[in-house]
Amino acid sequence: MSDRALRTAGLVLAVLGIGVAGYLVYVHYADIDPVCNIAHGCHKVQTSEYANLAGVPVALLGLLGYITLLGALLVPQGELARMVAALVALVGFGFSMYLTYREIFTIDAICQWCVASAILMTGLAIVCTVRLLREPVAAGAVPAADGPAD
Amino acid sequence: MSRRLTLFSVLLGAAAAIVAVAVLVSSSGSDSTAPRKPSVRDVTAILRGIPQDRLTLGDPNAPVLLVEFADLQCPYCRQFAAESWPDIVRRYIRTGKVKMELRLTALLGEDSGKANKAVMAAGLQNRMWDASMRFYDVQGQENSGYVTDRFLRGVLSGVRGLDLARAMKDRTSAGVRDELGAVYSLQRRYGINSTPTLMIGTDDTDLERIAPGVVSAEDLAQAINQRLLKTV
Repeated sequence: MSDRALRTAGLVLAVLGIGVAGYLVYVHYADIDPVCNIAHGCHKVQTSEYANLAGVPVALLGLLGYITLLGALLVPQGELARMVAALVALVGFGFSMYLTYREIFTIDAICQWCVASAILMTGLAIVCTVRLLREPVAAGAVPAADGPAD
Repeated sequence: MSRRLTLFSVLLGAAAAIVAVAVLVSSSGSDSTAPRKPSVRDVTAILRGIPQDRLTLGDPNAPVLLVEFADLQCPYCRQFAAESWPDIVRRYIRTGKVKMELRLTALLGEDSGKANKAVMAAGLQNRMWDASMRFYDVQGQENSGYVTDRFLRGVLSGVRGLDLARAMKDRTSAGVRDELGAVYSLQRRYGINSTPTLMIGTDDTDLERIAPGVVSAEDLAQAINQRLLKTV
């Protein structure tokens, strides 16, 4: 998969993540119930002690993470942008796994929006890691062909 | 490539460190000195297959009646629910020797009253015990105003087999009002001014107080055994 395709996939995932996290932030500050048709555990998860980190709603932290990822992915080249994207995505992935563990084993309820965010963050962690591990194409250089020349 | 792998390793280490700090902060939010709360899965397993009729848990023909006066905001009631109650259910209620009533008081304040109505409304669907244990799971700071409609929906939404909309509506029903009135009458009759208070008898008219505070499963078992001996 080309770097451009990876970046496009990352951008799509980040935009979707902003949608999910943004909705949860809106629900939190509007003090309303999230739509919860699949797992029916959103209320319980959103009112649990794990919905806040040091007094900050986890959904807001997630939204900031997705926005940072979107910004970093919008930079087509640049080592720093790749590093920032990979770091944020790996942190987001790790913390998503922790929250999923809490949902299953401590809160004993599943929030469909949190699951969606965890899946998106996992995808972003994969995309950003693959991009980081690849040698970036120097500006103005012609990318190598996929197959050998005849 | 090795340079990029090194870079990735450094970033992975940094990410792991950040996540570890976040996990520590998140975990420290819970009071580690508080008694272990029964998880929802525990409660589901504890109550599975035991009949519930409004505020009564267990076989209606059980020879001994155990009554708990509790306040849903009371941390000692939560402690009792986590530490002693499961054992009593397993040994005496599940086996049909004891039936137990949960009489919810509002001794601690306004938030208790709001919580009581919601949990008693769940009782109209014979899910009061599930709902009360789930409330203990997310019990907050006393009278901080945390018992909002949203919070209560969160508590009740996890109760298996409960019609949430009906329960929220039933909070103001005559059925809940009547049960609250009955609790108040019984509370006055026996001079209940603290929770948890556990009483034992054969029905609501001949209750005797067991030791005050959080009664251990062993002490409670002893009181139950003595009462059972009187019934044979």
